[in-house]
Order: sequence, then C-alpha cells, then structure tokens
Amino acid sequence: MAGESGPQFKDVPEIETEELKVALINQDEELESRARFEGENNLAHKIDKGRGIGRLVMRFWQNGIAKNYYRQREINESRKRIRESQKLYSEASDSEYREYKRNVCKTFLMEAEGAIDPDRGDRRESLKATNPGLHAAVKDLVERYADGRITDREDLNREFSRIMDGLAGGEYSKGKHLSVNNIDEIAIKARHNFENLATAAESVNSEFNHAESMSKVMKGFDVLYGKRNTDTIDPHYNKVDKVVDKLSRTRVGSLVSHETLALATGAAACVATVASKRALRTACLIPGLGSAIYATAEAGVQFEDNRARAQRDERYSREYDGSQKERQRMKETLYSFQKSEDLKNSLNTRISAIRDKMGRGEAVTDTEVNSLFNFVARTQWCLRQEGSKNPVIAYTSEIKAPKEQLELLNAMVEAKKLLGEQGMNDLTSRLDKSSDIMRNVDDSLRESVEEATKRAKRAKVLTCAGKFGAGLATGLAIGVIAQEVSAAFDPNVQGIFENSANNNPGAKLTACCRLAKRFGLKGDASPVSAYMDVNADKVIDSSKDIDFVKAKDGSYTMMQNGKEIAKGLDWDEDTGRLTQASYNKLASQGIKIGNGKGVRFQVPGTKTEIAKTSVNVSDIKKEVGTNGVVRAHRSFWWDNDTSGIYENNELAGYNYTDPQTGLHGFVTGMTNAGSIHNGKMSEFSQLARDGKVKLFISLSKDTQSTPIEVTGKLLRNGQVAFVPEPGSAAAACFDASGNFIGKYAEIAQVIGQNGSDITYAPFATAVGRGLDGVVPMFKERIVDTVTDLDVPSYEFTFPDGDTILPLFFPFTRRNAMNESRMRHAIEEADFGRGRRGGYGYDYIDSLGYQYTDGYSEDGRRKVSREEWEREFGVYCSPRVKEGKELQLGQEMDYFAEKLREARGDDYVAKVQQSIESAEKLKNLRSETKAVITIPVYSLGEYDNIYHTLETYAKQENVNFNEFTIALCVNQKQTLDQLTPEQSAARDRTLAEIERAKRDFPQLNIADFQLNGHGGLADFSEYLSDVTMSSIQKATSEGRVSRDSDILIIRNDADVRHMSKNLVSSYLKSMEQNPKTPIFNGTIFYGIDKGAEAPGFASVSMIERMEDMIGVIEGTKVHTVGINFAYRAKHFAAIQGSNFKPNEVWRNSGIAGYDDLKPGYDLEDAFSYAFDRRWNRSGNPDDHDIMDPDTRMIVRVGGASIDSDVVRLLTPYADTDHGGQSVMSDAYGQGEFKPRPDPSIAANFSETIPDPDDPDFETKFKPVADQFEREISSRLNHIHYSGSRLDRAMRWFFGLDDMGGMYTIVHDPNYRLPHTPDREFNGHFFELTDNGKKALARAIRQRWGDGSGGIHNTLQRAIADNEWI
Amino acid sequence: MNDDASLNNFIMDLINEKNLPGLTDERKAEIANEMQDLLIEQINRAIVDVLPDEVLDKLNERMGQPDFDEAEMQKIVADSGIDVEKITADTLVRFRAFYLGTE
Repeated sequence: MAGESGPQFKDVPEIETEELKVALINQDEELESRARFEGENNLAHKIDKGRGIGRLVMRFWQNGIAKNYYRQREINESRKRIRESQKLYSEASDSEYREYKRNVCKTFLMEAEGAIDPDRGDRRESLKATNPGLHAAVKDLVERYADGRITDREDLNREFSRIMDGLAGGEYSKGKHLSVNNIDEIAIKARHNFENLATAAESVNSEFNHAESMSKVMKGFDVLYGKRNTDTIDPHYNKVDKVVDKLSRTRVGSLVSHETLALATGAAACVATVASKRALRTACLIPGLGSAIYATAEAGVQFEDNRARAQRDERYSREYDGSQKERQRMKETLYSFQKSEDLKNSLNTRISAIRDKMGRGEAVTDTEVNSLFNFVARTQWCLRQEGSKNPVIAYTSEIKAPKEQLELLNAMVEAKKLLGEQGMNDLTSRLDKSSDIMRNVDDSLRESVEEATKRAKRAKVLTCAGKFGAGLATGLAIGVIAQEVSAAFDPNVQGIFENSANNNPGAKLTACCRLAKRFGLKGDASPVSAYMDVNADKVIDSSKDIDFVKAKDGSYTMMQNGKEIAKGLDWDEDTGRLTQASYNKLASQGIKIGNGKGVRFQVPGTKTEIAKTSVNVSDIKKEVGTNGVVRAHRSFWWDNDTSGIYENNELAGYNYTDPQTGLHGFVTGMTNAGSIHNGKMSEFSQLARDGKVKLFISLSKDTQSTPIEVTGKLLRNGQVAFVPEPGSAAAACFDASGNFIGKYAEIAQVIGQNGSDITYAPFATAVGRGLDGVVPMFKERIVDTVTDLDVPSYEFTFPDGDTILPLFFPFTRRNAMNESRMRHAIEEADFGRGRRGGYGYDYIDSLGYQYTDGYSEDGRRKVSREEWEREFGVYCSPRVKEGKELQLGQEMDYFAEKLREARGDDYVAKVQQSIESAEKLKNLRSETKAVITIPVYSLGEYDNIYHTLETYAKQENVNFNEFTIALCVNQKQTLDQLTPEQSAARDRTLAEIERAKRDFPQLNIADFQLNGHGGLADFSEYLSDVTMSSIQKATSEGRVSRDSDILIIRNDADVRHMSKNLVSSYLKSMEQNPKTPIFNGTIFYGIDKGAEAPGFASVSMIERMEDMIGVIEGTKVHTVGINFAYRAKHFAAIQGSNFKPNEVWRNSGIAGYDDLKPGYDLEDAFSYAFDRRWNRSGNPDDHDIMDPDTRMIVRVGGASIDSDVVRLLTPYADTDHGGQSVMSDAYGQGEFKPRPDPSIAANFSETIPDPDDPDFETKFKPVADQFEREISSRLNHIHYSGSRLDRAMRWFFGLDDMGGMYTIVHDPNYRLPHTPDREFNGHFFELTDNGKKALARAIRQRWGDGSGGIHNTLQRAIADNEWI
Repeated sequence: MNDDASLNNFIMDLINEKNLPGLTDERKAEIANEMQDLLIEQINRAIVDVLPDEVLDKLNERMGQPDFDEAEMQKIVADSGIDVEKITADTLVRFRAFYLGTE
C-alpha cells in the first residue's frame, strides 16, 4: 500500500494504451454463397468439358430436371469442403487465409465509413449487453494473461477455445464459420500495456496499484460480434435452392439428401411448367416443344445467373468462363469497376505529395488540396456502392479483398485527416455534395449498361416468340394488314377497308390512300398519287409514273410517263410542300392532291426530303468543344424521373408549332414564374430571361462532358424555344422529320460557369439513337481522353451530305398520377365544406387525400357564369366583368363611389379626415409606385416600430420617392379608457415614429391615429380604405397619373430582419407581371430562434415551403399575415375591402380576415376574368398551359422578411407540448392581443437527441408530438394540402420519398377526419419511428453543427449585412 | 380466307411480281413459307424495338411462368399501347420494297 506521504499511483504519468477489441465475425452467409458459387462453377466446367456426368447433364439440360440435381450435388460438395477445411477459399494457403481473417476482423473493427455495410446486412454489436457471460470470460482471460497468471500462449488459445465452446451459442456457436482476431494478439497488447504502467509507476517511485492499473488497461476492452453478409452480386438462391433449403429443414427432408430433394423439386418444377393440359399434351406429343417452352423460361434465369457470375468474376479480377460471344455479351451488361489498389495508390500519391511539401515547409496549393479532395470524394462514392447491387470496386481476388479494402480505408482516413489539416473543416457536407454529383455522373454512365441489359431482354422476348412460332402481333392483325397492303399495291385486290367495287378504277389509289392515312406511312406507301382524290376528274394510275422536273425558271413540272401533266408549279423547299398556288393550279386542271393542306410529298430522285447544305468541320469542332472549349458538369437533376411514376409537377418536354415562327421545344410541368422540383426551386421564365435555360445536345454517352449548347429564347407565352442555327452541329442532330437523332437533348438550367466549364442541372431529357443515328452525317475519331473519368471525346467530321429540317422534340408526355386518381375519385366523392359556405370545391391531391380548396379543377367546373355573377360579379366593376384592361383612375373612382354607397357619408368623411392628418398621404407623390401599409398596435409595438422603419430606410436599388409608408396607430380603447401605463406605452410608440421620421428623412412616412377602432383586423381594413382613398384623391386631382400602377404592400410593425431589395423586388415583379393582382414574398419566423426552438422552426419552415409550393404552382392564393401585396387598381375594381362585406367570418372578429380576405376576394373576382375557372376550349388539359400573364399570384423572389416569433413561439411553448397547435392558438387570438409574455419564449429551448441515443424516443417525444400536432392542424385547415406538405417535408427531410415516414388517418374514401371548425387539437398525422429519427436528423443537420440549413444561411446573411 | 392465307397471299404476290425465272409452283411455295417466317420475325423485331420498358419487363417475367402462352404474349403486346397495326403495316411495306428492290 502506498504510504501517506509517498507517491501515490495517481501520480503515475498517463500512458497511451492500445485499444483492446476482440472481434467475432459470423461468415456463414459467405460460406453458403461461396459454396453455391463453387458448385455452379464446377458444374459449368464439367458440362463444358463434356465428360462423365457432363454428357448426362447435357442430355437433361434442356428440361432442367437434372441440372438442379447436379447443381445441388456440386454445391454440397463445396459446402463440405469449406466446413472441413475451415477455409472459404480453397486456393488460399493457410497463412494467406489467416491473413484474410485477420484483415476481415481489422476492417470490421474500423470506425471509418465503409468498414461495415448495413445496406448489405452487415451488423456489429457489443457482447457486453447481448452475452455478458462470454464477454466477462474473455475479459478475465485477457486480464489473466496481462498480469502473468497465464504465461503460455498455447494455454491462452486453448482456454479461449474452451470458453467459446462453453459459453458461445446461437449465431457464434461452434460449427459456425467464424473469423476471430487472434486472442493472443489482444492479450499480448494487454500485457504490454500493463507492463508499461508498472514501468511508469516505477519511474516516479510510486506504489504500483494492480487493480487501478488493470482497470486502465481494460478500459476500452470489448468483445464485438458481427455478421458479415455476402456481396449482393453473389450467386443467390434460385427457386429450387429455396425449396430444397425449406424441405431440408422438415422431418422428411432431413432423411434424404439435398441432391434427392433437388431432383424431386426440379422435376416438380418442370412438371409445373408444362402442367397446363395443353402444354403437357404438347410436350408429350410433340418431341422437343415442351422442352423448348421450358428452355425459354429457363433462359431468363440462366441469363441472370450468368450475369451475376460474370459480375463477380469482374469484381475479383477473373476471366468470365464462356465463349467469346458470351463474354462480350456479359461485358456489355456489366458495370465497370475501379480497382481498389488503383484507388488506394492514387490517394497515397496525392497524400505523399502534400506531406512532402509540408515537410519541406513549402506552401500547398489549392489545386493539390482540391485534387486530393476530388479523389477522396470519388473513392467515398465508390465505397458507398459496396453494399449495392452494383458495386464498383474490384479486388485482386476474394482472398485479398479484405486486405485491400483495409488499406483503402486507411488511406481514406489519412486523406481526410490531411484535408482537415489543410483547413477543409466541413468535409462531411462537401463529400455528401460531391457524392450526389458522382451519383449523377454514374447514373448517366450506367445507362449504357441498362441499355445492354434491355437489349438482352428484347432478344429474349424474340426468342420466346420464335419458340411459339408466332408473331407478337396477333395473326388476325397481320392478316388484315397484309390484305390491306396487298390492296394498296394491286388494283385487283380489294382491301379490308375497301368499300368500292373491284372494278372501281381508283381502287388501288383509295386503298393506298386509306392505308397511308390510317397508319401514317411514309416512303413507298405515301407517294404523291396516294393522296390524290379518286373522285377528281383526272386520276393518276401509279405513283411510279409521277415525276417533278425542275424547269429553268426554277418552277417544277409534273410529269407522268414522260408526259407533261402540269407545269409552273412551286415547291417550298423549307416545308417540303407545294405552294397553295400550285395546288390551285393542279385543281384547275382536274387534279386534286390531298386536301390541299399540309400534304408533304416526295420528289423522285432525292432520297431525302431535305435540302442539302454543307457544314464546316471547324464549326462542329468549336461547338462540340473537343479542345476543351466547353466542359460540362452536371449538378443535381430536377424532377426527371423516368421510372414511369410521375408526380404532379414532373417535368416533360413538348414540341409546339407556332404558325408564325415554326416549331419550338419547351418544358412543361413547370410554371413559368417558378416551380419546386425535387425539393429545389426554379423560376423558369426568369432563368430564360437571364439566358440560363439552355439545350445541351450530346451525340453519344461518351461525349456528354462536351455537349453542344443552344440557348433558349423566352417566348411571349412563357415558353422557351430552342432553335438551332440552320446548318449547325446542333441542327444536324435532328433528322428530316425533325426527330432528335443525337443521344441526349437536355433542357437544363445553367447554375455555374467558370470560363469554358459549365455546370448545369437538367430539367428534361430527350433520348435519341445517338451516334448510330447521326453516323451517316458524322465520322468519329477519338482525339482526346479525359483522364479523370476515362471518358473519350470525339472529333466529328461531316461527309458530303444532308442536314436538317425544323426542330421536334420526341419527349414523352408524363401523366401525373394524381390526374387519374383525382378524376376517378371526384366521380365518387360528394362532399365539401366550402370556404365561403356557399359552395364547396372538392379537391383531391396527388396523394389521394380529399380537401376542399379553392383551386381544384373540379371547382372551376362547378362555378357557372351565373353563379359567379350572382355571388361575385355584383361587386366587380364593368371592366372586370367584360375582361377588359383596368385603368387606375377609373377603378379608383369606382371604388370611391362604392365605398360611399356601402359605408355612408360619415365613414367616408372620417377616412378623408385621416388622409388630411397624414401629410404624405394627403400629398401622395406623383412618382408613387407602392404604398406600404402597416397597422401599428399602439400599446405593443413601441420596441419594434423604429427598427421596422429603419429596415425600409436601408432598402437598396429603389427610389425612396417611389414608395410611401402608411401607418395607422390604434388601440382598442379610447383615450379616456387608457391606464397611465397604457398612455405611456402609446406615447412611446408615437415618439418612436417621430424619431424615425427625423432619423430617416428619405422615407415618406404617413401616419395617422385612431383610438378605440377595434382590433387588428378592424383598423387594418380601415387603413386599407384610407390608403385606397388617398390614391383616388391623388388620381382625381391629377397629382398621380390615372394610367399609372400602384402596389399596396401589407406588412407588420415587428419586422426583425428584411432583405435589402424587398421594395425593389416587389416593384420589379409588378412590372414584369402586368396582369397579376397579387404578389407575395417569403416570411420567416425567428431566424435567430432556430437553434433554440428547432422543432418550432422546422414546422414553420415546412409550412412556409408548403405555401411557397402552392403559390409557385399557381394552386394557392394565400395572403397570410404579412409580406404580400395587391395591385391598387385590381383591388379598387372589386370595391376593395367591401367585396362581399357581409361574410360571417369577416364579422366574427377573428384575426386574419384583413390579410387573407383581400387575396381570396381578388381570386374570386378575377378567376373569371382570367378564365381560370372555366376552360375556354373545354379541354381539361388546357389549364396545364397557363399564360404567365394571367397568374393570380406571383411569388416575389428576393422579398423576404423575418418576423417576430414571440407571439407564435409563446403558444408553442406555453402548451407544454400537450395542447393546442400554434395555428389553433393564432386563430384563438381573435383580437389583437397585448403582447404575450416574452419570458416564456425567452426561457424556452428544445433539445434534439441523437437518433442513435437509446433513450431517443423518450427524449424526442415532446418535439415529435408537437410536430405531429402542428402538421395535423395544417392538414385540417383548408388552406393546406397534404400533397404540398408532403413535398415540403421531403425538402426538409432531404428525402426523395416520404414513404414509411408518417401515416395519416383517413377514411376509405381518403377523407381526412377534419373538424368542422378551425380549432384542432388532435392528431391524425403521425410520424413513424423512422420518421421521427429522420426528422431529428434533419433538424440536427440544419441546426446541429451550424453548417446547414437556410436559417444558418440567413443568419450569416444578417451577420454579413446582406440582410437588414 | 384465313389470316395465314392473307399473309401467304401477300408473299405469293410479291414472288409473282418479282417474277424470278425458273421457279416452279412447288419451289415458290417453299420460298413463301421461308419468307413468311422471316417476315413474322421482322414484324416481331419491329414490335419489340418499340415496346415500353415496363411491358418488356412484364413479358420477361411472365415468360418464366408455367401458364404463359402465345395468346397471353399477344395480349400483353396488344395492351401495351403501341400501334401494332401500324408497325405491322410499316414492316410489310418495307419488306415489300426491299424484296422488290424498289427502295
């Protein structure tokens, strides 16, 4: 024992001890996989050699019975061999296999990403919890060796085996194929550590404390058990394997061998194959046919088996065992691999170069760091594919794979460490982004593999059809068509469609004409004569007899059998058609061709229908950019799924023919003013205006990095046209019919450009035949190889030849899933809860949930003109009813007249008095383009109003004379009802306004006061009337032009932050959208509260995103709270706030009608004028093509406000997570309440636990509960759509699909159990366990490390003074 | 006239129009049979080339099933949404042009 005064053990210096971890890894899965692999290989080998059983197998091969028998036998032999030898790989020596197991364990114990692969089913767990007995026994063994109680290593190993035999069980019991890292290595490390501690104690003359020392040594000790699954590309069970496996576990099955079971099962399968009476009879009666049927079916399985085998061979650097043709076929269907050694060496080379420089004290360049980062990103992406069906890393062999993987992971650890040293701190986020990019590149590269697989599938179908000896088309179809085609070419044959008598001299022509019309045929079936009308006076017998000969004067002469029929005809070489005058000329001679319109015909003597032009090779080279002129990088993809399931706003390409300007291509599925796609937003029209929408054409997959670029041109209707220059390389990618014949035509948004390097995000892609299609026009030669991706680029040369006609995009229209569901459901649904009570709009979103919403297609159909007139039209000015242009002065006069009628003289007098008291309203400036209206609660905004006005004073890019700020200061009490404290608060508010006036003279602040004029909604509405009346006064007095345009922007007095260009953005948007009545910006609630109240912040962000999606789609007019605007003349034309003045909800005193109502009113009134509720054409699809000029609401980019969160956060926090939602509380406010107690919010904080925390569920419950309550509340509310919320959540969660993340309670008709009133306190939206974890991850990602999320971005913007 | 006969007649017409010297009727019939197989294969190929991926996958999947037969195969194709008649007609016309050397 240590003496009282002598050195204690605690004085012993800290010694770094090695980590002690024992790994037990179950590799039974690998054993089974290996046995199957070896067995199949052996069988294939024997069959190929054709000796012994091979001949026998071959005899039965086709019917598949013996194949399974012998396959199982070979697998059994392999399994037996592995179990006896305890080696998965027979080719490995004992020492090699020891090394293999050791590396498997080392990799397993690594913490680096990629060390274990959960996707593949790998798992790792500590035995401390699951088998404490075993854990304790192994620990005790190590301790005994460490302190010398066991001295002999053999004794140690023997004791370890005894422990394993005695205490292990289940998955790691004796008989399992286990890899265990050498226990003696661990024990030796422990002894080493123990001895070091003893030495250290001795060095300071300390009393050595055995127990404490051992405790230190064993501090990190653990026994970890893991399961390592096989590669996903390994050979898996076939159907017979599965049955055999199952049977072998039964009592009967255990009595017979696997081979016998396989034989029985195989036979049963074969009998089942021909079990239908017809097939069985056929198989019996017609030798070979039955087996042919089975062989065809078997061919599919065999192909997949072989492909898996070939893929594994490629992965482990073996040559696929098959014929050259078979090898080639397999190679085409395989993904390319990267050698692990190459990846590691490349990493190490880069690491060494940097380390060397650092060692020499030289500066490391950005290029070197970036090069290392790029390679790390690439390697990381490769590692992430390891558990997928298509891994991309290849190894020297299976036996060396663990070692190579370990070395690669170590190189990655070193590289990441070095990048950190070089200041790359946000490595994880950067790597994630890079991984996304790599995935996109990978996707495009993999397409070729998919195509090869598709080819193989097509070949299989053809083989199958051949086996049946039949056509894929029915015999009837072939017969009918054969008859018709015969008739078309032989006047003696009557076509099926023929009604005329055989003797009709025009029979041939008629048949041919109908054939051509019916099937749209070209070439031989569509000669000129095919279109000639047999009823014409003159009939041409044969198309072959027709010639058009060009005369000296440039006109054409029509000849038949060398005889002139008509001359002086003109042919438009651009369109390939006769001119109308020529048609008329022919008709005057009794010859009628088609209907005289749109008939294109062929000029004999030319093979194509197109004019010949030449293109300079140098131009092509320049455009293709083979010398690095253009280098393309693809970023994220917009919604561009080609899986066959498309969502509402999926993108699609269209062609469009304009009679004036010809053919154009464009993208639909995007609204012109902006859309959310794949969780990202794009303002299509603006992008096009900025020249950022382009068409990128690639001629082959290999040249995608150097595409040809065509800039889109914005048309007046909001569509974007891409018209290549005639004779250009781009134009050469379209054939005579306008079909795209290049490889990819990508309509894309340019998101970055650095010199010749361009980065873009594709919206929609057309896929053509590629070089196969273009090859008649191009000759290719590889001129360069891009080393990074091993992508060759090409030089193209034109032969003397043909080019181009107009552009046509062969995009396929994508039908939104919700369309069919909606229509179907609407037929059955009959419910509604009308927003205004008078009528309901049934609406079913793309998830199938039913709502009532103001913008459903069904709603548009339901409201007839008569109903509109009765309900809305009575309030509208004549110009609105007639759909005419509005003039500010005229509509203001209409407003003034109706205001007096509705409210009376006294009210108008009061309004005029308010105007008189506010100098800047009384003398509204002639330049005025906007009036910002702010209701100021006199008792509650004294801390806010000055700062709010300051944010306007700091606006940029705006002429301050162009906007006025109208403040209406009011409290519910009259002056004599105020307490002294309230009077003081009111005085302070007024003083703050005066201070702002002094400090910000550039602002036109027009303030007036009311006392006792109701709650917020009441005096907000009054402020609106005053503002409108002041504009009317100005226009009637001639101070403001009657033709001008003024926007009324609605905001609050408690702005915390604001974008610097808020006002200028609104004005710009007003000019760009001259017919739009409503505009809105983005509202954030408490940017700085994100970290403090992340649950609340996530709800508010999702809600805002839902709102934004709706506005951008044009499906939601939601002028909630603040930061929206309406055009004064539109509002005047519907009588302003007096539109439908007697609505119950307006007079119920609830908060909100002053903000929501203007939006709804304008929509109700102008939806008719804009023809959005009725389809003019009757075509239900017409609404898809929305004229951007007639959008009801436009989101204003760059106009964002961060509002005070206290009044919303307070109810969120105050409910103690057990009661109402924020929304319910907000509606419950009724009147404008005094400011809520800020101390609740100030003291409030939420913690978001790690999803891996064992107590996650308990800790996260309050946040999850409130989240569910808030989302349920919004779902219950008519303004929110489940579809949009789903998309908003996808964006927030960072997921492509929210499947499995939440459940929504609904009835069999997908109706939500909404409550009839606005209050909602229940749950019908519930997160699943996975959903809760995903939410926690998303929140932590955004607020956890301060590096992600828009809140952090905005906080930085505020810190950098980019926001006010 | 049954459906096979229509196709056979179509081919016989072509052979007659081609008017190759020295062909006996028996030899013509043999050639017609061979051509018929060839023609059906070409029609099949033209159809397979335009079959949507999902239909192709469905066919591949169904081909492995014991109860799959010719009628089902043709039904799947007929229901696939492609214009089988147009493709067939187009192929016949092309075949005719190719055989007669008019293309």
